Amino acid sequence: MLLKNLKISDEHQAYLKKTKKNQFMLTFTRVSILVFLILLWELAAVWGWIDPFLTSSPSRIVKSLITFYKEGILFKHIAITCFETIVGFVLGTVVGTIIAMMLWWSDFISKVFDPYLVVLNALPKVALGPIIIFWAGNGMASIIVMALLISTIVTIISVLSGFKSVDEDKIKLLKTFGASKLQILKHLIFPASVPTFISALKINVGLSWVGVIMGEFLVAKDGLGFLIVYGGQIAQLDMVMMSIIILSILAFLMYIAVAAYEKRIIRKY
Amino acid sequence: MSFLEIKDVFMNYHSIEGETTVLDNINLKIEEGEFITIIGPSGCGKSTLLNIVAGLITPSRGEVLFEGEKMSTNLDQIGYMFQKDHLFPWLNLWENVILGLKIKGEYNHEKKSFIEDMLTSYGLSDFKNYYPNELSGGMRQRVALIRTLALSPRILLLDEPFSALDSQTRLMVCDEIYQIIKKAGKTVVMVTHDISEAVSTSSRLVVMSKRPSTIKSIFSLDFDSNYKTPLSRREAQEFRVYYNKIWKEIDVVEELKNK
Repeated sequence: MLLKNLKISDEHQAYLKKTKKNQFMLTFTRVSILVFLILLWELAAVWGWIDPFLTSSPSRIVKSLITFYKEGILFKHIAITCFETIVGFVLGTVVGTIIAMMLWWSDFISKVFDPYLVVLNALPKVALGPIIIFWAGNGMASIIVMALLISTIVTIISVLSGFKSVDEDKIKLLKTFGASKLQILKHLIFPASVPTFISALKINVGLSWVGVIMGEFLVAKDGLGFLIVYGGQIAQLDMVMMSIIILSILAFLMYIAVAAYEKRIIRKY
Repeated sequence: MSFLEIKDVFMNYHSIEGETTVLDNINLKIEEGEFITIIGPSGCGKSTLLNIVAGLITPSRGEVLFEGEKMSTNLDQIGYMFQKDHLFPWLNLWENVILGLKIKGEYNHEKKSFIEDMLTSYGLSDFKNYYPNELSGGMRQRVALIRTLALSPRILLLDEPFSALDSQTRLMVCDEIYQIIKKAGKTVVMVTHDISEAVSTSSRLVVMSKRPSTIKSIFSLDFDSNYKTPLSRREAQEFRVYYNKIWKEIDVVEELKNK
């Protein structure tokens, strides 16, 4: 518990000032690097140090952005990619958790499937791309399946190890209360695994993006992944760069959302 | 017929490498209201015995009887306390205390006021909404005890209940917990490896041999009635006498030599 002093000592005031200054310097440096790189990129293109046909440039990216916006297809592509990612991310977490629960329930099943999980985890899921397209069709379903495949296996492995790391004595405690296996799951295993869930969520955000972009490369119909591939094929590097930058911003925002959620939940643990 | 009887209990542990006998024919009769401590060298199967009494493990042979009936049908008579308090960090004090009742589906109005009274008498009622990480070690151990007592067990099994605390807190908490248990009139079976803790609390003390463990000897501890609490017992003349006797009986020196 914090002791709240009404009077702040000079020493403490100096400490607070220093902390604030450090925080400011950190943010300032971060932003400066970004601004510097963008400026350098632009000037290098203007002064002919680099060929903007190969490297694009900030101004060309903005122009491309405006064109896409005017044509009214910018938000369509963004929305499609976001939707696929969120669906893949949520489904991957839910499906992975359900499977992890089943494996936790029976030690035998868990041992049986252990080598299969290892192989599935090691397998590069993109290799399954053509098969997925054959089975799920050349459309959004295939993309979501791809994102799902990538995030589910990791979720199963990390959530299961979270479930299994719950203190044996706590399980014993609930057994002395006469708790059933379902009650142990509900009152202990789930709440105790919240930190594991959240770290799985954080990993899954990244992996879903990977899955969705890979899926869009293969299906090549809509979305930012499609714009990247298409832009490459028609030698429109501006389009490619624009899509990558939008993608970075989206991934960053989604990560921040999960991190904020984590901060709210994790306090008690 | 005894209140609690451990009858011809054997326990073997199996692994691929072989079979280990941990408990070798344990017999013990315990009467209501006793404070029994089981003490012995590490790895002697004290905790195993406690787990058998709690019905958490089935012995290889033998049985545990409660008032002449099988213990396994009377498990709700038992409360178990662990080395650590094992309070759930995501539940506040109140939610932790009622956890056992909720799981048993026995949480009702009557129980609620019973627990509220207990919290009040042990100085915890102001902390109901606090989370475990906001409580001191001693408070947490008291909360753990109340969580156990909430189920109104008649037998308490204590598995080295103070060993996770630092040595000063340990003496205080031991004293507090002892008085709460005595006031509630519970029968206690405690496992410990701390001789002074055992001598300061017990009415009888069971010394176990090293593996395969048998009961080596049983001491009845008799203190002058002036020495009612564990802390005051430590000042009694008899304390040192018992301490030395038990120290010799456990044969710590011998055990170290054999290692």
